[in-house]
Amino acid sequence: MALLAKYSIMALILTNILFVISFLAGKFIYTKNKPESLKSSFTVYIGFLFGFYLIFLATTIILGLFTRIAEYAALFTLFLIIPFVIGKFASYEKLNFYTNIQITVLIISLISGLFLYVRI
Amino acid sequence: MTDEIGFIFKKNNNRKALLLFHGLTGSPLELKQYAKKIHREGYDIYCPTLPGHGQYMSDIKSVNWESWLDFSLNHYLNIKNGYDDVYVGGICLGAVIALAIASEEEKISGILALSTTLFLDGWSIPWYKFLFPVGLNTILRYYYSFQEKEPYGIKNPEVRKKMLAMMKNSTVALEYIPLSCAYELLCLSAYTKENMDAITQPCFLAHSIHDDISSIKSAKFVYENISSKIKEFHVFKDSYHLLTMDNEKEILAKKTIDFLNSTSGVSDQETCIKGVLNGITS
Repeated sequence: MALLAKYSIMALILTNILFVISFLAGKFIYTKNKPESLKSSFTVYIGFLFGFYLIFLATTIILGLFTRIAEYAALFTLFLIIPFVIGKFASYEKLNFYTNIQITVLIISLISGLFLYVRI
Repeated sequence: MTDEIGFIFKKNNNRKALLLFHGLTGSPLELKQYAKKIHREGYDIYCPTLPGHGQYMSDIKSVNWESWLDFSLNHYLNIKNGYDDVYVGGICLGAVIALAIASEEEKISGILALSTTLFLDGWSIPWYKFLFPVGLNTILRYYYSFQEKEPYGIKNPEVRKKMLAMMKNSTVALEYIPLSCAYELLCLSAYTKENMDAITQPCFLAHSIHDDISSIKSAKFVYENISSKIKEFHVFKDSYHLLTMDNEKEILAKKTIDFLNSTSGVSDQETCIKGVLNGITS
């Protein structure tokens, strides 16, 4: 079970790294002079990453409950919920602000994942 | 009350009015020909442009469903005292707005719900729609837009060509539909579904069985959940989402006029129960 948890965290870390890089790359893609089709395609790609991120978070939480890292399950549950809380409060006028919050949360979840991986 | 694209058709002695609302990212132009036919039968027509619907996508991204509802309700309140009968109606988002208003205003004489869009489950919705729960409920909704593609809600190829030309001038519809708009539409749909049983006015439903944006499930949901004693449900087989512009627009207009004339002055307390289910058009 601990080994499965380790693989799950590894997958989460890799997805998370890709996710953070993609969100930061988005700052250059989501500009006025870029075609709408490019922005939309990029968003679909991020949507898939988001999906994998949520799946690996969920598996880490579930496996974590059966291993020595149960206390991290609560923290990772927060990372699972926060994107939807941000989505609930986000508005177009403050989009930059909420996007930066989302990126910050992703970086914190990445650091937490790395810390957890080392601990296991 | 007019704006650049919205229109009013009025005659001094008309005692009946119809307030119409256009579709998501559309414009009043998609209802103009339909409205003209109804106007000839003695109804004043009011068709404003909904908030956020203009030339630029950024306008619509900053509007929420409460703005659409308040705007539409205010239009109704502004005209209701000038007429004996006031109907509300619309297509797509406009139909949902009409139903929402009717659930709050008992004095509305009747509802026209064309291609009601409570669910976004038509056959032209992209294959990656399984990502919608993530896309709609996170900030991603502000970053993604659907590109309007063939058939643009229209089965008739000639009409579709004209529609495409008008879209390029942004006079009929935006070329892209922001996902944030779809989110606001679905929020309004949730609100309307919650209050559906408060609707008691006569209701005319029209939906294509081949609707590319919203399947017939939306119209069926309305038919089964409203408390109206008088309700008609007309299913169209030779059109797509934009019924008012497509192959069966003449039939739609005729059925609408028949409904309006038969329900004008009829109170929902009368025992005239008329449920036309599965009225299949030829």
